[in-house]
Amino acid sequence: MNRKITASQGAQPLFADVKVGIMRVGVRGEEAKVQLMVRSPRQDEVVVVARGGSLDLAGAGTLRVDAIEGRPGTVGGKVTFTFIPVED
Amino acid sequence: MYGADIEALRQLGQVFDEAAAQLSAARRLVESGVDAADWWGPSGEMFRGEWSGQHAPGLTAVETDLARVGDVLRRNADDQERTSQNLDGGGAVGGPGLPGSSSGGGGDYSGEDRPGNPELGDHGTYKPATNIPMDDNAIDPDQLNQQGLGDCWLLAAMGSIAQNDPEFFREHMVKNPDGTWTVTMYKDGEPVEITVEPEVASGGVMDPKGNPSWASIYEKAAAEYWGGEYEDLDGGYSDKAFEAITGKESNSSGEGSLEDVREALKNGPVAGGTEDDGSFLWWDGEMDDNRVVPNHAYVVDEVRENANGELEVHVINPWGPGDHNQSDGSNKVGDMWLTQQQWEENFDTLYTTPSTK
Repeated sequence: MNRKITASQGAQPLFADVKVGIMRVGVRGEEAKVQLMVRSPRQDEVVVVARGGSLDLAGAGTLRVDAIEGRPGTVGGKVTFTFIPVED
Repeated sequence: MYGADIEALRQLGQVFDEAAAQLSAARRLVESGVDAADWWGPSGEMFRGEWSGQHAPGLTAVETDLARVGDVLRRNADDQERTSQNLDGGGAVGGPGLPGSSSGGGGDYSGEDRPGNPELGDHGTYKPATNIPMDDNAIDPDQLNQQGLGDCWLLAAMGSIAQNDPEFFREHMVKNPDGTWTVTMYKDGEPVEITVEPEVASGGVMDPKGNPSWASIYEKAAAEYWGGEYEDLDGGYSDKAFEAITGKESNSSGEGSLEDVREALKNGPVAGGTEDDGSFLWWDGEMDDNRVVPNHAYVVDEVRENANGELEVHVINPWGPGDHNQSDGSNKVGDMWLTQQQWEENFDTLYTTPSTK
């Protein structure tokens, strides 16, 4: 079942067995991006994802970045994710 | 006349960031052109060597300088803002969220026990927490595993106290015959007893295996203390957490030298707050490998002299250990050793409290 959550920069929500640390939130003009530390038993990886983008969570499923709330000049902010797990 | 237009300073900082980003984009464009150039022989080799050895590093240095200046402008804006709000504690935010935001432990709090469970909000469901180990191995900063709640400021303070005096938590967390826990916290130096049911938010702090721990119980009590919702813990300062946990007057200051940090550790628990890195050097996926999380709070564990006689500091991220250590033995996310320079580049606040021993 898909799961939707909103978390702040500095938090580390868990999706299946993958920890997703929110390192930085950035807003520049109309663009918004988030830098994530993806930590799983299989790999650690730092990735940058734009609003509306998605990433494969080390085989556990797909994580979509639905919304990014931030303000210029700070890495603080909030990110809304939808996790779509891999079907068994 | 003293002071500045805060918004104008922030905008100027952004101008520097954008200039750094544009320069970075131009450098990468040239770089790909140089790499792709069909030019072989000594002249081509010499040209590529000059590009990679002189011109590209020169541009990178300018990019870094532009971003640093942007950072300085933003910090000045933040300082101005704190001064105007009479909130200047000598340091920056040790966790996500600014005081005065819609929620967060940096703001007001009631400091009282409340009936029922705290509101979960977006932090999962309630999960039974019945068998909670309270030995020294469990009450250890390495056993913290922060999840979707932005309470690094609280967890860093808890981990720092646990490192200094694990007995403190055994004395301040009592399991009652009916399975509930009574946690003693402090408001204005006076004890406040908070009783919580043995179930915790599944999206809150757990141990590294994902099981509820002493920290989960304590976090739940803190959610009651700070307003009655888990979301009330989203953003705050570790010195406020120290005071709520220990009842002792606590301080925040600039990050200081590692000699200062070593002295502070002799007197009691220490936590550190990282700078709010407003630069956009990460925007295109370009980052150095130190993996310090900005605008975040860490447990400050130890200062030691390395083989070269230089001081280095060990910091622990409440995100907890991972599965993949680096060649230096650190996890680089869960924990890391930093030199004086790395400490100064990344941290801007030291939170201290007297030892509870």
